[in-house]
Amino acid sequence: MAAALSSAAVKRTATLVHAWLVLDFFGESRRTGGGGSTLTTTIFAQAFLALVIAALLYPETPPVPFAAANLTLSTLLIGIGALGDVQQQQRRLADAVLLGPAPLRPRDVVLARAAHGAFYVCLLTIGMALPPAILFGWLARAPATVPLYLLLACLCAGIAVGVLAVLLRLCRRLCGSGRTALLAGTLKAALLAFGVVGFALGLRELDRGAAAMPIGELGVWLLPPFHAARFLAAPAAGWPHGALVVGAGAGLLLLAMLVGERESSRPERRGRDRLLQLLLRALLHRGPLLGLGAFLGAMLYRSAGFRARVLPLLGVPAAMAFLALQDATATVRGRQLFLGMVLQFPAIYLPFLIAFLPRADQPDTEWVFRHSPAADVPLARRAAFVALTTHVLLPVYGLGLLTMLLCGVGAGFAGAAAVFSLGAAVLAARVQVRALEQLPFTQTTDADAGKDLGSPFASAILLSLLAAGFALAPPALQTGLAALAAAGAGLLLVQAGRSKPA
Amino acid sequence: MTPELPPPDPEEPPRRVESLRRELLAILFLYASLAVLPFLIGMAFAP
Repeated sequence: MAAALSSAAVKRTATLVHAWLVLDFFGESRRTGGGGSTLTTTIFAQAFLALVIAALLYPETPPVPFAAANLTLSTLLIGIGALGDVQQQQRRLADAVLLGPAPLRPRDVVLARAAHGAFYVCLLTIGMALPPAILFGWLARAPATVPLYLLLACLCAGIAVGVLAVLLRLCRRLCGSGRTALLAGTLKAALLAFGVVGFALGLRELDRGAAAMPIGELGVWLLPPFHAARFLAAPAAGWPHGALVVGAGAGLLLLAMLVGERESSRPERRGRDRLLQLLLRALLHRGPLLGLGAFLGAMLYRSAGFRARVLPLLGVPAAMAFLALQDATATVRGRQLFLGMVLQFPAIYLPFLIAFLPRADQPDTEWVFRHSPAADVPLARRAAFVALTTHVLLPVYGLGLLTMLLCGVGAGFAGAAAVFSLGAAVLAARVQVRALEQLPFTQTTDADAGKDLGSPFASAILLSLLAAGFALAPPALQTGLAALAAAGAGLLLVQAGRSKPA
Repeated sequence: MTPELPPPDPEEPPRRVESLRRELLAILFLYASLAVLPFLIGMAFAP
């Protein structure tokens, strides 16, 4: 009787795990109408990247830095992947509907979640960890370390996913699922920007020890991959490092159980009209243009999907600039040229931001505008131009200016460069919104935003040349160019708010 | 009596049936390749 019950419980757990894995593999392609598995493609791509990095580091890198670097890479990419799914909220709601009336005991669900989570993380991690594990075996001349490396890689990835999951659970409990989805998008951008750029910079300093890393020696000691690498190099002598990694995993599990899955029942408050929204209203005045612009302004910040796609694009150059500003050996001229080029990146990425605009997080959002005869694509282009300027370009360049000033760049150059780059970006945005072919935030499949890749490349080259010319110009001319760019941008914005669509 | 399914549309290409087993086998095949290639690299450039 007990054996039959136990067998039934195992079958129930296996059925749940199977259903969730099918969604992991085929959920995205079912939603978009495509074929094949997106997860398999991701595993292939990440595994290939891990093989290339491991092969590049082998055999000159000593064992501990080699293992630490490769374990950090796999942990970082798994962590970023865990944050990247904007459909998590829909999955959780679907699970509640599936599991609520199902004849399942709570422990069956807990067991299924644990099994699914462990299988998913191990599936992704082993693909990334297998090539460096085998190369580490050759490096350390110890083939027995290969399975140990795989185990520690899965443990480090599990810790990263666990930390992020506990953080998001805590946020969901305090602030609700809407804000948590936005936080996840922001965290993803931060990890992608600072994590990937920091990893690339750290690769150059692998032979110089932990103190030479961009995050400093303390930062390195806080990373589980560092302790896992120390344990791998000498398992007998390095057992405290191994125990630390295992202990961190166990502690995280306990914390996750304490935090629980409850969600804040506080109702979502209506957003107050902030400064950027007031500026947008001042530019667009009234009527359908104002309605569409206000909708865009709100959705640019509240769409978790848009945030998850856009922030990494803007975060990577921001991280590059921030880390480069820490380099004390650069000359003033060289730094100005580098900053001038980096400040053009938001304008260069604008075509991709505009390509993401039509995508909605929920299906059938188009109905919002189906009953509005005045909302058409030419109107959407004007509204998108103004909303992108007030809600994306202005805050990005404001933050860029603040960062430059805090890092010691001269106020004269910093101000002129930020204003000039903003003006150039506004001019670029006015031209590039013509590629928008659908109403923003209304489509559920990826919009076909332009088979023409020549235009973004041409504007990238032109903007880079402008940036180089500006950076090499004397200070008086820089101020003049910045004033001219600001005047031009202001005229375009005022014209967009008043004139009829072309 | 179960109703018959409509005939497939001749203009629409046949949709590949989803199979978790097939995807997992593809991943296992990938793992096998990932084991062989680094092994050869390690052997060729061993310190």
